[in-house]
This record gives sequence, C-alpha cells and structure tokens, in this order.
Amino acid sequence: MRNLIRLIVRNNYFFLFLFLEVIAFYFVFNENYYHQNVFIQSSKEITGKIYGVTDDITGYFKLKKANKELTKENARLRNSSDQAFMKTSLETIRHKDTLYHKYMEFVPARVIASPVNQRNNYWMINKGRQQGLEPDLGVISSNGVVGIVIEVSENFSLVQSVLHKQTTLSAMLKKNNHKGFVTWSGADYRKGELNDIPAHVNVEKGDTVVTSGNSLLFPGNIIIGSVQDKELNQGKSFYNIGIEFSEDYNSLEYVYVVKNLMKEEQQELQERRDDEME
Amino acid sequence: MKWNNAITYLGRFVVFILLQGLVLNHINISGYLNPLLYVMFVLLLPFDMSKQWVLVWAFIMGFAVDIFSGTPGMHAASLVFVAFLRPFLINALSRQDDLEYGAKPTLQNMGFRWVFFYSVILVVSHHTVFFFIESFRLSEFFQIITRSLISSLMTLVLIIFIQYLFFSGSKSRRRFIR
Repeated sequence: MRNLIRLIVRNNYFFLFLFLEVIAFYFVFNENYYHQNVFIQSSKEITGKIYGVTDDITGYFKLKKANKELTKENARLRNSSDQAFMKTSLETIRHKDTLYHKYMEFVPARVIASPVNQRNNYWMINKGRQQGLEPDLGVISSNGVVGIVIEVSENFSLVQSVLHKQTTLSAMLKKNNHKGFVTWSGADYRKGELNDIPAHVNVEKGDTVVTSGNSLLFPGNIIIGSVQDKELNQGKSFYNIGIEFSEDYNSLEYVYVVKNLMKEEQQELQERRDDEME
Repeated sequence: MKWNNAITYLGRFVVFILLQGLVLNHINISGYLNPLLYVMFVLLLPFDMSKQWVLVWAFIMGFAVDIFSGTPGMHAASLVFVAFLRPFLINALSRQDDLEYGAKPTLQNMGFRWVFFYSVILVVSHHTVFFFIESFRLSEFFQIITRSLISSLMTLVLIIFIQYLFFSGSKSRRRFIR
C-alpha cells in the first residue's frame, strides 16, 4: 500500500493527467450526458442568452433571404388552403368534422446557433418549455428535415441535427414508396446517404427522397433531398445511395417544431404489443 | 505583479472561449474547416507555471469550450492531452538557458523558429486527437486526417498572426528605449 502511494506521488503528473482524461472520457461516452448534467442544464440558459444576442445582430444580415423564403412558403400554403379551392359540392359540411382529426401541430421557431462543421452538430432554437416544447419532437423547415429536440430549458431547446452521428431518419423514395434510412456521413454538410433500398428497385438520379411517416416524430412526405449517385453494396442486395439535402443547413433560419398530438396513443399501442411479446 | 498576471490570463481565458464559441465555431468552408484556436491558451501559459496546474487549466478551458459547443468532454480530453505533452516538448526544443525566470512561450522571448515548431507539433496533435474522439470511427480515417490537417493549418495561421500582432514587440526596440 505504502509502495503504491509512493508510486502515485512520484508520478503525480502522469496520474493527474490520467485522472483528468478519465473524467473527460466519462462525459464522452456517457450517452445521457445532456439529460443528467445539471451544470449543463443551467449553463444552457446562459449560452442561449449569449447566442440570442449575437443572433439579434447577425439576423439583420439574413433578413432579405428569410423574407424570400417566407413568401415562397406563404404562397405554397395559400395554394393548399381552403380558399384556393372552389366548392363544387352542394353538400353541407358540419363544422365539427369527425373525418378530420388534428394530428400534427407546428410551432414556429428561430435557429440561433447552427454549426455544421462538427461530426455531431447540435443546434439551438429560441423556443423552450414555456412554449410547450419537450424532448423527442421532430423539427422541420420549409425546405427539409432539421432534427430532433433532445433537451429543453425554459426558453431554449437543443436540437440534435440531421448532421449527427446518431441521427437516422426513416425515409422513402417518393415515386415508389420504397423505404430506407437516411444518415449523414460526416464530411460534406450538403450530402447524406440513403441505405437499405433493395437492389431491384428502380432508382434514378434526381429522385426525391422524403420522410416515410413511419416515425412518430415527423409527418410523412416532408422532403429530405434528392438522389445524387448510387452503388450496390458488397452483398449486391442493397443500394448505397448518395443524396443531396434539399435544405442548406449552413443558412438555416426559421424552423417548425412538430408536435404529434397522437404520439401517446401510438406509443401506448406499441407498448401494449411489446408487453405481449414478453 | 502576480495579480496582474492572473488577470491577464483570466482575460485571455474568457476571450478565447468567446472567440471559439461565437466566431470560429461558425466559420465553415466545405465542412472540413473547424479551427480550434482556444488551444493557444495552453500554449501561452508561462514556463514557470507548474505542469500540474497547466493540466488543470487545460481541463477547465476544454470543459468551458465543451459547454459552449455542446460537445461532451471532447475538447477537454484533447486539450488535457496537449497540456500533458507540453513540458516534454519544451524540454526537447530548448536549451536550459533559454528558459530564464519569467520567460514566456512567445515570439518576443523565444523567436520565430522555436514558436513555429512548438505550435505546429502541439496544434497538429491536438486537432488529430480531437477529431478522432469526435468521430470515433476508424472507417472515417482519411476524412479525420484531412479534417485535422486543414483545420490545424488554419489554427496555425491564426496563432502566428496573433503572435505577431500581440507578442512580437521586438527585443531590440525595448533595449533602445532603456
């Protein structure tokens, strides 16, 4: 024992180094880092405020582009609203229609920090618990899929973006509904990968890739990107498809947080089945 | 004098964190370039600070940057590694009489050649370690290497630039004034 202590004291520099590295790597490999670390929780409000201030300033430089995007989206929404359609049927429609049940709710938010140059990018948006957000909500923009809310504070939320090692989107080819998974390879923030599409499927360059609607987080048919190139994997049974994201994540500004109003019902159903399996 | 020093280093600490979190993390060309200038904080710590304290300061600095960039412990791990290498490198690079009392690892004290090799070795090892931890996949080996080399180059340019701007104040001129 005395020898051990003497060893540690003599090599205190090395052991201090080892000790600090162990602490650091504990955080690196702790999956639930964001959920557990109280220190991070409170510091997020502070960094959020600082990011908010800088974003107030830099936001002015992006106004023109943001306006253009918003008008474009307004036009699209107007086109799909009731006013754009003429009623030809004489049937009266009851106001409380049981045919349509509100399924998704969209909360608009602004991105105040969106680095794209790391392997795992987290983005901050300016809505939080007070605005009704909670972890595990999907985030989309007018041009594509953005990510998943993983952590909320009072007024800010942290989004695990599409540009993250652990983000996998359930996706499909729009033209024939074949489903696969979209991931990010970590190099270019404009390019992703679509995997698990069987080799017999007809895939062409330029095909649109959209969300499958299979997940509880995102509604279906939200555009993700378009097919760039394809090659068969080693077993020749599946394609590895390179896609280009439709959203330019580097200039992301306004996003919508998706609240699935029937998520609990769906989850409950799933859990009931899981229980039966056991 | 001692207090003056402490305030200088604390000021640098804050400036490097803000510079990294608010400016450099948002620089992006083709997704590869991510200069990590905060490493300069550890490079600039004085020679007469005990190496144990350098380790501790590196950890605090790395952890602060981690909080700002939303990465768990990665900056801390790589910066502590740099702090660990530092004394060995200083010993290897300099003769004993170079390290007179109160000398600092700056252009003014050590000259261009010394600062250049010192920065290159520490910055490249820091960036490589960092990008390896960040990615943690050997399948992305070449991507990691490219990324760390390009980012190191950018960081080094910034470091040399800052050294010339703030820490060069040539020796000869000072002697002339005296």
